[in-house]
Amino acid sequence: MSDVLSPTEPSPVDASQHERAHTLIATESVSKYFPVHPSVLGTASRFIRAVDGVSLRVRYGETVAVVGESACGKSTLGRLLLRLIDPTLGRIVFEGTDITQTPERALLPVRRRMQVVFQDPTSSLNPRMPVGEIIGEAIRIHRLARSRIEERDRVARWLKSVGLRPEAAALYPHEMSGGQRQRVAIARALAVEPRFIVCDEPTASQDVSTQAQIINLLVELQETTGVAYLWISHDLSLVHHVSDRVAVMLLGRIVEQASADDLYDSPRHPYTKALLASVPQIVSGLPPPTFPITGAPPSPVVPPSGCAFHPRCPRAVRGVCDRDVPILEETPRGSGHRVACWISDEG
Amino acid sequence: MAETPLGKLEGGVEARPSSILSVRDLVTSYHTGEGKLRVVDGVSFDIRRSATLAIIGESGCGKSATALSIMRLISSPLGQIESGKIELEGRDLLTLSERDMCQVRGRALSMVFQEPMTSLHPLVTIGWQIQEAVTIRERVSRRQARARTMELLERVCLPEPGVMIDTYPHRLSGGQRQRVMIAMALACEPALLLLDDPTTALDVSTQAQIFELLRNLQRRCSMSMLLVTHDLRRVFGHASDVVVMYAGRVVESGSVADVFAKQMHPYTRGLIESIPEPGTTPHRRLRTIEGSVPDLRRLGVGCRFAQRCPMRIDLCEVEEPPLMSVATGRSSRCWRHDEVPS
Repeated sequence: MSDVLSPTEPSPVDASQHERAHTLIATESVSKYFPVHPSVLGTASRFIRAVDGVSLRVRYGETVAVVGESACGKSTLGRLLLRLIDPTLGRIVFEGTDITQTPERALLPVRRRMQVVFQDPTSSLNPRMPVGEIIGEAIRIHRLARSRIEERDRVARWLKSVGLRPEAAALYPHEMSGGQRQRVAIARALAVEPRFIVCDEPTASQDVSTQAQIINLLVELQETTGVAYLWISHDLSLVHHVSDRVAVMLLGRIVEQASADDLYDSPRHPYTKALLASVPQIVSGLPPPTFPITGAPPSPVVPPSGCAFHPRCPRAVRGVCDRDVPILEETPRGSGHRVACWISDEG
Repeated sequence: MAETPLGKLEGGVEARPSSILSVRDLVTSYHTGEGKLRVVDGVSFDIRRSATLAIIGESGCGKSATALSIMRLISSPLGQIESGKIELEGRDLLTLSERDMCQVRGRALSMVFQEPMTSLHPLVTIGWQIQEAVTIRERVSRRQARARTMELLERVCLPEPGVMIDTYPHRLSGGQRQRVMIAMALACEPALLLLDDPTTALDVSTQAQIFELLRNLQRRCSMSMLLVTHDLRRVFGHASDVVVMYAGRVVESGSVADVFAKQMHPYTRGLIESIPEPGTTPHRRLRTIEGSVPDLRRLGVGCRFAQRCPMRIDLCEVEEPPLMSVATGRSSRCWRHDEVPS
């Protein structure tokens, strides 16, 4: 058999081709700067670097989580990937096509392949539309049904797949619970059969029991439809359950990136460690954490010099951490674990 | 009164002398288009002096309504407190006149609400809002009030209190605004502080800081706290006792250590199991409680949790279990409380 003869390690060229074939969506040093206007009429003198040179890759059928505190740029990154906002610099490649410059008109077929589920279903669902119409509209815009009857069938099928009864199509969002509304938002996203969904804190406004139901639903739907997720969250302990890989963001940059298990077993960046320590662990019976971070998150308008974490970092070295921005580099252990920290190797 | 089963807790139990607040058989209803809804239905518990009691449960279980009842902030046409007793340091709050209650609020009793964005006045500086809380209760000069405000801002660890005092709420982050709310609630050094999901709108890192702050304040001022939350992870390590509510009822109570070590109600067990925690549950699947909280307008005669309960037996459908004393300091409203797996 040819397998025996072929080299066990693919050549670098093969590896990159292999990688490209499996990549669903990728950003290449993508940045988004928002102008800060000192007054109503003033011209922008400063910019907030909401996303600053982020390269991220999502493969077909996998879940990549982006984690960080508020204002770290995680939601902006999600919007950039969806082309809901245009990047200042960098490229976005979706299914092998550069969509960075694609005009709005030509984006419709792309939009069918990528969808979004927002945090708050109360504001992301039209209160004046019954649920059947909310899901049906998406099917109609993308011309996925040949008749009204087929559209209705599709709506019923998607409602069923998210655990709602087909009769729910007649209800208005306010007649449902928060968990049910989020199910509708998920059904709407899935109704156009996308390959990629950005889940922007889909469970942040839910109870712990509803949260678990929604997470399980999204995981099950991924198994049946093979859709890939970009999962945005501020809760590191939650994303461990859903993600294959995790990227930790701080002030517009990725500071650590690894497989989910790697990140939890051996976090390298002090910021990741602090985030993990900020959630009490119940089952393990560990004492409640004393959070090592004392200060507030850094201001995006006046970012700190050097590493954005250095003002709060318990191990920051003066003259090093406050001077230059650390580069995201592969750790010696390999396996795709990358970290941007000047001191992470010292234990 | 009906025949009292062995170990039944409801009614007739004297307040423990060591407790600062004792709630007995509290019934609160909300008025809706379809009549009265008993959102709090016969709730009893005690808060020990200088300790923190947590009330947990899903939304719509009556947790916040219980806290609002204690503050007596539920009034017509929204709803009303139907019956029961709320004793704060031996004084029944439900018999006080509105004027006397105003003296209790802010002085002996204070509350921090869930949404710091909506609880602060957007057009008034932080300093004025806290100062108002200070001057309403005590006759002090403006200068004294300002000094006291500075002190409060320092105490809740806000940076640069001298600048902060003249700042408007929109310039603050969510965590800072919640610190301002806490400063305001602390203005008159209350004996009991009620916290209604104080950190839901905040980042995990900010949540940890707020709880750290609360813990330090409690240690220093020997304040008692009632923490209403749906984030069970925060209960662990911050509260000493816990009351689990479901559909207006207390279904389980006990010390946090005991309840988290072994649950005696399937609902509590379900809640604890659905917490995502790295390395403890199989990857990519969480345990859940199927279904949702029942509609209070359509309650049957049986246990309110029966529809969602994995341990349901025929008895559960026809008779609601009473809240039973099941061990020292533990109570459970489940017929099969000793069979809950651990």
